[in-house]
Amino acid sequence: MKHFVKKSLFAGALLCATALSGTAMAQSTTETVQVGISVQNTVNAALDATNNSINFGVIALRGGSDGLLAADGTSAGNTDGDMNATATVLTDGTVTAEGQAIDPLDLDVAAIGFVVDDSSAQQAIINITNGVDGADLNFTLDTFSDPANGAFETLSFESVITQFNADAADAPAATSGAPIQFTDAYVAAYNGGTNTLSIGGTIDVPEDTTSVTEGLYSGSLTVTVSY
Amino acid sequence: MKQFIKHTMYGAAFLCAVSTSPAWAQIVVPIQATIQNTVTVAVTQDMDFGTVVAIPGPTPSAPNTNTSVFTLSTNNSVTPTANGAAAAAVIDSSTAQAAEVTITGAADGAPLTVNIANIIGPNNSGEAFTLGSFVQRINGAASQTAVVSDTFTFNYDDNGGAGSVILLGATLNSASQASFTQTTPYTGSFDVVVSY
Repeated sequence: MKHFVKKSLFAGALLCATALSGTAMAQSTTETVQVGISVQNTVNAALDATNNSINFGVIALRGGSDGLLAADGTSAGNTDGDMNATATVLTDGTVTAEGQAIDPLDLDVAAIGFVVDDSSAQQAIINITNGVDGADLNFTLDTFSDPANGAFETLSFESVITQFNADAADAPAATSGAPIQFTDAYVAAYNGGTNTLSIGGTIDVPEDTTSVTEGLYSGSLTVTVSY
Repeated sequence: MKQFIKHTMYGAAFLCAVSTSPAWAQIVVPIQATIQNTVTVAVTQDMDFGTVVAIPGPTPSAPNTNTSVFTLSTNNSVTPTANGAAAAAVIDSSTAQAAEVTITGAADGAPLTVNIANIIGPNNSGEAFTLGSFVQRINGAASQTAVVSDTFTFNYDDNGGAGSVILLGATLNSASQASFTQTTPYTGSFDVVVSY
């Protein structure tokens, strides 16, 4: 009898277990993870807080003009070359100025170029940070605006001189014509990651501009930096 | 078997006969069981790759031709890789973090299966990265492990009720995306599916 009951209970349990396993289903729990990334493909480039302009300081600058006689005194004409005057700021901030030498016998009007006060003279510096080490930086210099003093715009921003980091300065490039473009590789190890583009240039007073209004002349150029 | 079934039927008949007998005491013994076949999953930290420079090279193609690749480890570090003529760099990793998923309510020691599904690479205005090559590190393991076929199993550790913590890293690939021009974040997602 005990055996019979035992078997009956076992069978009941088996049926019950069978019923439970039949209703059990694989269950899962799902949660969603958000994924984010920010892309900053623009170069961090900004004008230096101090070297924020190309400044020629205070200069004396005036164009000359041809005289009536040639150097040998026998006929009229220009034999002394262009009678313009120029001032140049190098990429280290050094400023120089010069005028065209003349032969007194020509009765020329001398072009003059002198530095009166270089204490404010400086090159402009563009600081580039957070670049990709070794990646090429493309520089474009354009939209050159000649320094002007009100309506008087005789000065010509003739050329620019650039220097990337501690590299040798590039040869002067004329501002006339196509935009000035060049490429340099960003160096993460340089100057704590702050790479620099130093910019100087040359202004010019053309021949026969024997009268130049005194005062502050202001111009500009645009520098674009990109990968 | 026939004998077994026969006994079973007899047994039921016998029990029925007993229940109708006034000489027997009838005691009902409650039987209770709570079935909990699901576990609790909580995303305790989303995945973030920080801020990067990603400039694919000319004619990029997946997975490694002129592509920008960023690998996020479970220790929150992001490693850039520039394939071919591409550029890749990390600008700001201060916000970079692996995903963290906490699982609770499972049977201690039970094997759980984790599946990563519905993977959507970070995208913005039609520009997208591919998301894949997941890695996982569970309960502070010494090293991370690659997730093969987006699925892995592990033995649940209840940790005194705190549950098991899974860190997930992954890799973003610029794939065939030619450029990334958006200045707002690129966002994507994936599902973590946990089951016995």
